Amino acid sequence: MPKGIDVSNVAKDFELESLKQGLRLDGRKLNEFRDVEINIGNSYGSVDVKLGKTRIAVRISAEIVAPFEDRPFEGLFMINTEISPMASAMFESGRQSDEEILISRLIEKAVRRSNALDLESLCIIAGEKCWSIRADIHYLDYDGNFADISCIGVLCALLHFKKPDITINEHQEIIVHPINERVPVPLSILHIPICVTFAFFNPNDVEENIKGDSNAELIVVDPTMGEELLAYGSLTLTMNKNRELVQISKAGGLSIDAMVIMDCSNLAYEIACRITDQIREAIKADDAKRAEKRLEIRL
Amino acid sequence: MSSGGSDELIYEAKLSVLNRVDGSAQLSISSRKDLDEGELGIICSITGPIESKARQESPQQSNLEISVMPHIGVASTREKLLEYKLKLVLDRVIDSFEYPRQLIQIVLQILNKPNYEDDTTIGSDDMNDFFSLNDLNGCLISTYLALIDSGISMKSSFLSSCCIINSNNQLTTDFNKNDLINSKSAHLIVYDLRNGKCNNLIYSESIGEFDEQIFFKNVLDKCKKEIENLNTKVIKNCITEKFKNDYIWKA
Amino acid sequence: MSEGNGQEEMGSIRFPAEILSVVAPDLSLKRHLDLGLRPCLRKFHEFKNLTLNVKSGLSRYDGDVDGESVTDSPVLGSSVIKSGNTTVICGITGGIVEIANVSTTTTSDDHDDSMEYTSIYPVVEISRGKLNGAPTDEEMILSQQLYETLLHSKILPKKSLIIDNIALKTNDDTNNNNNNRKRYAFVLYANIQVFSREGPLFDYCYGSLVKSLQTVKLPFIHFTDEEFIINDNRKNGGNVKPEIICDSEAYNQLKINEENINWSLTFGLVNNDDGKETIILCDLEGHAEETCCKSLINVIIDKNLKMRYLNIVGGDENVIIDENIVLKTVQLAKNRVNNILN
Repeated sequence: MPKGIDVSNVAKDFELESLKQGLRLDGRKLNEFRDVEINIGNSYGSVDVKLGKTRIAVRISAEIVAPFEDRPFEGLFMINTEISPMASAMFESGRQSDEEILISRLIEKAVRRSNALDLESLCIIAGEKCWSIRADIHYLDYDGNFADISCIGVLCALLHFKKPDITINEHQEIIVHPINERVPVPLSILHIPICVTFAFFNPNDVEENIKGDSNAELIVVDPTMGEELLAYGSLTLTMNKNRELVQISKAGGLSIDAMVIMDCSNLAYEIACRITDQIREAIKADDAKRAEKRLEIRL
Repeated sequence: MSSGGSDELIYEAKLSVLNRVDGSAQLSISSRKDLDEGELGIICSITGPIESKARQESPQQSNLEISVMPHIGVASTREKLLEYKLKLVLDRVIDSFEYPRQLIQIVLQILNKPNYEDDTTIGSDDMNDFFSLNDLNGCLISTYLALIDSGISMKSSFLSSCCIINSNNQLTTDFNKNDLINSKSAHLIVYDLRNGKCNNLIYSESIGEFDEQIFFKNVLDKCKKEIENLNTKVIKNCITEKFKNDYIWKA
Repeated sequence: MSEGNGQEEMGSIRFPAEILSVVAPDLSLKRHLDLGLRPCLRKFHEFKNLTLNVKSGLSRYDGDVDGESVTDSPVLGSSVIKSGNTTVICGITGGIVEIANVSTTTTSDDHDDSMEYTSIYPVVEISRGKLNGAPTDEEMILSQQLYETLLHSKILPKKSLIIDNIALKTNDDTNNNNNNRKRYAFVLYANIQVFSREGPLFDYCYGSLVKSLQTVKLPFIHFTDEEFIINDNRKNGGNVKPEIICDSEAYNQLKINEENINWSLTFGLVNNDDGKETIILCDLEGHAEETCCKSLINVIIDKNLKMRYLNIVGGDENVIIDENIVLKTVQLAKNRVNNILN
């Protein structure tokens, strides 16, 4: 059975020592986020994101369905975060691993519950027809921090996606116009939440951490797989460019000083701003490319 | 990344694209004439031979676990059927007696479909169900490349090709959704290769109105040519490149 | 090899035929083939006995059974196929869906008859003694194959399922068209139960499916204002006001494309002892044949003896599949289909 990857004691000590000296195995500083590489595909809502060696592909699709009975003015939005053994042999197909459940909950809170996608804008005929938007995240390569990259990927894909234009005629029939007939309509994204994950390491003994005064915990931004396997706990903060904290998730693990969260938030805000700008740049560049192509065809 | 192909299709292939698995390959097939149609993009990963679960173990042979993930939605019975057909071919090709009691895990992720099938609006005309031959074709080729990358022992090389006979009785490998649906017949042919030439028929699936003569004279010939072309122009270059990279530190 | 005092001797173990076919299926098959027989004691090109029964008594409209007219069974059409010991019972049920009032503006342009065909949704259950379990791989694969094959056969036009003569039960024609612009269509499901599985099942399942389709009758549909009380465990467990209701007596025959009715046949290919000759086996039966015949040919032939589908699996590398074998197989198939469908 493909088990989790075991790390030897030597490797553990080596990594911990390096962290104490402010060095990470991939050469980053402790508070450095990996470079994000965004590749936008040919069809709307199709995005590939790389965070160091971690790689995902996100695909957005839309369907017209009946809305829920208790929410007749809202559309539907669902995110699929199934991890396959392609990402790493430690993920089994068909069974949801703990990792998957945590990531799924995180994305749920960060993107769905925060109303990043305005569901009311998806309504077509109240109580009868609405758009159902679906985001499928395909995890291709695992090198730590699936949570952050998922958020970046989904937001980028949602910003890029355009749904077909529709008209409702006098008989209450909906006519969907193909993309080459009428210009498709972008989705209404209210804000761009960006998740930033921090991993904690304990350089001292357990007792020191709980009873002692020294707050020597090591906090590392955007852990790689090796760091995730050694970490004692993690914290994920989701912020947007409006300096709003969208969600905080610290599920057990190493106890840390509460003031540290403030520092983490500030760091997270800077990272969120930078990445938001990067996403917007990528979308703008893609729009420009498409406009050029359309001009070429006309000429 | 190596690309090439016939006068109808462009193939692009790359090996060793993923880090956590034993072998991986990324393939994209697009039309040479219609560059706006988009491409069929598939990435295949192979992990193995690894330890298998007790219930999956086979005493003298290896066990294959194949998963196909669609680009939109979750895996359904449609993907189960694709997995079954893939297994029929792979059972013949993989040297399973070489890895007894072990598991070979193959995962295929369909990343892109040519624009005609890639209608991101699933409407009342969901013709995606109509033909999965094209998907099977891409899956087979990318699995072959990934198998080479992973070093799993194979009894022979194999490649596949998919073609249609349209309403004007023309045989072509370059088709879009309308062509496929309005075609007289559609064919998927898989051959094994020996010295760069097609040897034995491993798998074939033909749907539509056709007769035996058309099948043997025209379809098989066309597909043989396409396969041999694909082999010389794309596959060989791809593998050569991989070896160049592997031996990059050799003095 | 005997050692020492020669008390140890190696002898041969004898197995009864059924045990040998499980322990050493290839050996068992080889021995039978050398005698010109098969483990199921049929000749190579001999098919299993086939009985088709379309008046199974399951369907709503099997009126002649027991002299009762229309029952309230949900089954709209059914058939029973018995082949050898295997029994396949297919029941077709239906549901009504609102056809989404969604249309694309290009529907009138690229209309082609291929887009006009649809299929039904089958669920296959192979009884293996387990009471309840998730569908096995084989069941899922069979269901998908049946769905796709029916779709490609162009037997069921989409038009046949669209309901376009909805009457108002209260005989009030004034508001007939304007109020309810919703359009409805039938959706057909097939429930296929297999008992005593002996070998590959696709042929019998597909045959029973096609035969049942030929017997399907669709009830008339009416608009209604009535309210019904339904024991529903969800929050609406009370009064339900459906807008449409099926007539309990009147019905129409489902219009299918009778010309395209076809039949599927699967053959196994195996080499004889000296590997020189390839033997074609019809209607694979038994564990030995099923495991050893890794090379298969599946053909679907229609009423006019035209080939509609051909699937060649060369799973056995010792069996070389060439033109001769395929032509011979197709000819066998055509003869058989001629007997069954005509």
